[in-house]
Amino acid sequence: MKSNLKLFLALSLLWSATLVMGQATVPWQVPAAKKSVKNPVAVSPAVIEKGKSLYITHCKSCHGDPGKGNGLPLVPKPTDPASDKYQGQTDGEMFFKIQTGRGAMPKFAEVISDNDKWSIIHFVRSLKKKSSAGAGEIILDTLPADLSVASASLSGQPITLKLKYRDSDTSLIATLTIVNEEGETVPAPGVPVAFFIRRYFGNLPISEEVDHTNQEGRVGVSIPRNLPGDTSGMLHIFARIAEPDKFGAASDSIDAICGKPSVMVNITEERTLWGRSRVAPLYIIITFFGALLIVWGTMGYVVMNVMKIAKKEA
Amino acid sequence: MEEAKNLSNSSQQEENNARRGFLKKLGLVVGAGAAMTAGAVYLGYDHEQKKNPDGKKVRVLTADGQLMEVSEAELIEAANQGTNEESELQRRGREGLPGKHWVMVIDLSKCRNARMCMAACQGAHHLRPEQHHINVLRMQDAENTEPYFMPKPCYHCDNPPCTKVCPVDATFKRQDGIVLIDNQRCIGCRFCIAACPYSARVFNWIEPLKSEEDKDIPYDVELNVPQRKGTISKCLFSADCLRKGELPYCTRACPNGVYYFGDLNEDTVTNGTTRETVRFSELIRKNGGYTVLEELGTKPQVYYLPPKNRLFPYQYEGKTTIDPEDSRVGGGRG
Amino acid sequence: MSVNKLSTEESYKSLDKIETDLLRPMTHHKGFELWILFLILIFIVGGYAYFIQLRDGLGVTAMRDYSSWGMYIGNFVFFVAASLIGMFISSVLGLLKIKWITPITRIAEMIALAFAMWAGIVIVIDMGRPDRLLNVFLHGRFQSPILWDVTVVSTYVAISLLLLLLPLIPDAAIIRRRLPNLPKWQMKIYDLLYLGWEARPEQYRIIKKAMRILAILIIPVALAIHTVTSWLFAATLRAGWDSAIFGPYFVSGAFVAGVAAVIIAMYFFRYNYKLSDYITDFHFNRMGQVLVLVSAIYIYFNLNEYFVPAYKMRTAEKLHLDEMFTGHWAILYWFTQIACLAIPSFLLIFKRMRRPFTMLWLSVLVLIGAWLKRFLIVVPVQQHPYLPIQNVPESFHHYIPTGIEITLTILPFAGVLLIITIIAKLFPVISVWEIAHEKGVDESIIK
Repeated sequence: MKSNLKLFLALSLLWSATLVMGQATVPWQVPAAKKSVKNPVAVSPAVIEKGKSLYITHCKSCHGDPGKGNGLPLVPKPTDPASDKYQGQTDGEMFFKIQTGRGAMPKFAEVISDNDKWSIIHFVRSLKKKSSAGAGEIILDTLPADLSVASASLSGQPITLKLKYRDSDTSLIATLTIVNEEGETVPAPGVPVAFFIRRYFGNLPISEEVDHTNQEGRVGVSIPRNLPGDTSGMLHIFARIAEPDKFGAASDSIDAICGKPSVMVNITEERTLWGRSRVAPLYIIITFFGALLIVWGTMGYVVMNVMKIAKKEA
Repeated sequence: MEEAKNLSNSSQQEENNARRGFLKKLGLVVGAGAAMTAGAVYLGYDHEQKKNPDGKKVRVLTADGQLMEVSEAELIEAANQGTNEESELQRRGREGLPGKHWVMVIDLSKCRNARMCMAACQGAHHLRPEQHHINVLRMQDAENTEPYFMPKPCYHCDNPPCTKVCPVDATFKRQDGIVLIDNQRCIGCRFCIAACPYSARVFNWIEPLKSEEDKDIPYDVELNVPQRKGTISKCLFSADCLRKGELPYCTRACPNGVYYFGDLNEDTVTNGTTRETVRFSELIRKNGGYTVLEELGTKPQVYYLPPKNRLFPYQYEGKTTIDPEDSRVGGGRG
Repeated sequence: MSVNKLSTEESYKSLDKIETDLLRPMTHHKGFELWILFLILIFIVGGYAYFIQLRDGLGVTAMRDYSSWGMYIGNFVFFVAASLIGMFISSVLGLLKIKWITPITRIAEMIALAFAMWAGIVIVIDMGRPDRLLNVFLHGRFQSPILWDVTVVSTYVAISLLLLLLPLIPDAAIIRRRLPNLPKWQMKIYDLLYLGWEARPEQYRIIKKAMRILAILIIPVALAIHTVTSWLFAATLRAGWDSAIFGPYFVSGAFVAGVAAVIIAMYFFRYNYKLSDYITDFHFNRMGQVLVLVSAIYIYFNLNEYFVPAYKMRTAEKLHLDEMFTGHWAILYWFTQIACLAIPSFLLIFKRMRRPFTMLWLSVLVLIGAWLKRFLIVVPVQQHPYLPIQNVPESFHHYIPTGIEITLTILPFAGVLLIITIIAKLFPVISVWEIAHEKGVDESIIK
């Protein structure tokens, strides 16, 4: 069964690939004027984070996870943005291609704002730095100066994340600490922390923005009031460091009664006339058997009466 | 503390899963012979087992050729599974997952008719190429509107017209909202096909695709496999996957991020391609989500996001317009 | 139609003639064996076709996902419709004290019983899993119209059987006296049935009361069977079926089909069984008038059913109506509506058309139209679902019945004819005692 499924997938992949085969694989020429355009958006961790989420929404379905080469097997194959071939382009070239599209590559001119496109390019560029240099080193110089100092000292030390729920303003506070060379536990500033609610199929981000810890190593987020929890309003909350390969992995989870209590109605339980439940309403059953009883009862009565014909005269 | 609890929970679950997987493999090897011997063993060991849950260890060969040591108790469980598995599948299949209310969101702006959903679905449910639990339709709402692709699964209506008319309770609504079909009960009257305004149901007019290979598999009502000649089949929201915490087959197979799936009670849906998890209500609110033919009062549980800002312009077999003969459009949006 | 009492001597003479005339076909029926053989042949062919269908599945028919109900269901609706006539003639007209129906009540009831019994079988032929028929009783849902249909059809069969059997009690007594040389097994039936009939006044009282009760009882049941059958369609959301008048529309159509069927049977029995003294031109004239009346009512419902939606032309309904009025089904549709309904009923307004021979052919036309109409109600609607039919083979878009399907549609007709033939062989097709009674024969000698 499984292998058949795979075969199916493979076949349909091939088939969808042929859909776009018509497009020639000639080099994609970008006008010189466009080539030299510089990225007007200033880089920051937030911008990169935004570019990343945009990449996931708009690009990942074809280009795959950067560096893994797991894009769709179309022809031509969508280039892995972490590859040297891709990174060899200028920012202007990337922008132009996103803007205009070609073949299976859609035109994003009106779909994504220019600023967002540049954010994606920042994200793509950050990949290059990550892959060529060691952990987190180069990317730190794109961070604001004060943070970079603090963050630089983090490298190599075990990092701890402690999550707390504050009932007064329904907010979550994550405190990050590291143990420094002197063996002291000190706050870890400048670390991006993502907060989630655990859901059945995945983790629901509490906030769209990813914030960084302050000098005290704390970062907070307030929980929206109307998030449905379980029947008691309990939410399973969980926080982790957003960029574990840079800062090390740490996470913590807590349960807090801060959601909207869910009213779980089993719609199949009530007696309904029609579709939802197996059990019919009483009036239908009474009408049904009542009518049946009357009709068949009358028939029985008639038959019994007719049998009296057979009675001999007294 | 909390973390530890979670951890132990999840590890326990993993253990359960592993064990279940193992028992399945075991079942294949041990087979019918073991069922009989184990039956006899069971009588003798029943008493002892109650005293000592670990019991005696036995060495067995698994399907992939590994030697494993299992307790007698597990062996017996595996052997009994052969006979009880089907009724257990039936019981849990009819009951559904408590506290859940499954919901699907289909983003039409992303669909480019890749049809991987259809292929994955047909593969999982052992369907013939013309049998669609999910079907990507070419739609056009009115003469001068833009055509678009619309994947159409079963809408798992909260007021399902199909279960209404079933004379034998072979198709039914579960507490988690899934409309299932029990092909061991279905009498093949096809009233449900007539009643469904969305043409979501298919019938096994002839011998199903894999009836020969599947004939010894215990029937799983949540997968509707093995399919049976003379009975109905339809989209099941991949109820078998949901039980395991996995997204439906179609949702996972989509390369374009079209499908979101989740639990309405959690107000959360997860995209099958990007695994992005978002709030259902916000997704619907921000994108103007709607349901198809809602005026029929069926309360569909599959929502659509309108085909705006499309990444890929409509194109089918080289044409950018719909052949009116081909679509005979009734109007997807009423 | 005199109701003058005859003298005892006249009574005996008259009764003797009636008995001779009406019982003769039971012993003198040329070509009876050949006819039975012919029907059995159809059964063998049909049985083989059904075997193939069971073996290979319903895929041997032209039914597919988008026309999942085809000829079989159309046939079922037709059979239920035709069976309604028993109730109409013997019950509605009978309770209205219309006298001329006496010689045709048994014909109507035979038709009713035969069609009702076979309606149940037709629906089994349509089932994908007939082996699971019992599930309907084991797991029945009271919310499903199919459960109601099964219930009312079986109830209707029972009442129709009683309505047929009760008037046979005195006739059985007469047969025992007149035809003592019939085969033994046949005599056993009469022995069982005559219940010691001695034409005593209280026996008359009992039997008449029983028949009156049944005549009243059958009205709601008969209305129910066809109304529930119409709900199989009207209870869905499909444009073209989603109609509030489907119940009365179906019932009125049923009377048209039934009256036409009775006229054909009347003609056949009149000439083949040499009953022209009993089934007279007068009866044909009256039945012709009845056919005009029921057709007029049916045309009225047709007008409502088709032209009110056509005035609005809602998207989904327009697709369906266009196909009916001017599209794929147009020829069949207009043939059914005009040639098989409007023209025959118009012609029958004129007295000179209400003669046995012309009425026979007009009735055949009406009956064919009645069958086609059910087909047109069932099939075309399904080919215009709300969402387009796509990504399926070409055969899914159309519905052209296969040979097996046609065979299995004809089979039940052979079955109906077989039941009618057997009843007509075992019993007089006209109620002897009621005719005698009507002619003024002394009641006490009818035994």
